[in-house]
Amino acid sequence: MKRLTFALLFCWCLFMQVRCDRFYYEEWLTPVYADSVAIHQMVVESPRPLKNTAKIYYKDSTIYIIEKDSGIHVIDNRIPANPLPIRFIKLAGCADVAMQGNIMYADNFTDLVVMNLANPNQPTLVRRIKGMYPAMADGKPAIRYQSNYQYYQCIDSTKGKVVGWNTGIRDTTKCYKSF
Amino acid sequence: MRNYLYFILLGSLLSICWACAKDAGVTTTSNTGKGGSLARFAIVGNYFYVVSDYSMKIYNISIPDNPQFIANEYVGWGIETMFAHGKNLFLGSSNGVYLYEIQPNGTIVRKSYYRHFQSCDPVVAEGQYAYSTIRSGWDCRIRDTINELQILNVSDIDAPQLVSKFKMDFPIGLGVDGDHLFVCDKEGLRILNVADKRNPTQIHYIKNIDAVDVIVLDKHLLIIGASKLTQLDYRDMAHPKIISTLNLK
Repeated sequence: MKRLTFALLFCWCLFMQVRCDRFYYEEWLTPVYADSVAIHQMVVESPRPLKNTAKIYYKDSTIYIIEKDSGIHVIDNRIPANPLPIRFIKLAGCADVAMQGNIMYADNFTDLVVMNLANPNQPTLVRRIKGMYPAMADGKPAIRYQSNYQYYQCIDSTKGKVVGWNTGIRDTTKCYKSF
Repeated sequence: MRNYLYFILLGSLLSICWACAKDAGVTTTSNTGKGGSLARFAIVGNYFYVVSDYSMKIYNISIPDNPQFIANEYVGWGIETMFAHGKNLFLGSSNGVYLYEIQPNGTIVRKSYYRHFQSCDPVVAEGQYAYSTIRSGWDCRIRDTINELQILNVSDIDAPQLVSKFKMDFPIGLGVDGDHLFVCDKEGLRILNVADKRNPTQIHYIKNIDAVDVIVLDKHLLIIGASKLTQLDYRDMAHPKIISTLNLK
């Protein structure tokens, strides 16, 4: 009897497989949240550490470094051997800037912001053009590439308003067993 | 009396300067700054172009502090970067490079599309040539493993031709200055000699520079990384030297 049980167990072990699909990843987007009241405000602050820097712009010995989705670092570069951070322009959802004369254009969440930087120490808001990126207004990411879908982490509206998206991967490895 | 004359002279000089400054503000494009190769904003003449995933918004900025919206055009999927070159706009997308021509009224017309494998690819151009880096990676396209620089002949905007390729590790932003090309790669900054477009050669691979994108100034390179700003003096191309690193982390 003991032998039979053992044989049965042995057969069962032979047929049963426990395995995982390895290296099964999926690209998805994770939301960047901001305080929904503050997102449409431009605030000039003192310099702060550079992090998540992404894009860069140069005009008249001043360097503008965009911190992804947060704002613009203003750096006095009259002495390239000694660049001097002078201001941080807080601007939610900012990704790009361009300048014509002393006027700077920057994106702020769904809006286009027009600033005067005649004095880089004192950036001033000239006007705001609402709804430059209407696609973002629904708070959902745009569909990228030639596909019909885009995975993203579900939005938790208690965390604020979505001002941007980070691309990432997630491990969707599932383990399973079968007979 | 002499003082009085001086005042008049000074006054007239000032008014001339003022007139020049005003003139420059209205008519020339040299009044714009310089962006890196990963930009999605471009200013050409009196027009301001904003590209998002698949649309292009165009504003008239002849009065810079009061942009007037003039058009919104569909430009194609997965647009990631924009580079203005003369009257052309080069759009780097996840499938290839779109070449657009700017019309006198500021609107744009697609002239051609150079397709490559799905990947990320900023593009810059100078003279008759465009330079595009193609990289694999999670944020671009999952299973491709192409990492290279491509040089295109764009003298015929209707039919860009691939001239050569150069293998890279994981290239991102790039900048060009005549015969020299600067490419931000996985381990640092590559400097290539591209005098012979068919056969680009590497002069330097300066490692341990945090490099994502560059801006080419006068023999002076601004290199932005994830948390660092590095400046490189390349007046002596044989011995480029780092003049400063801003790391405020």
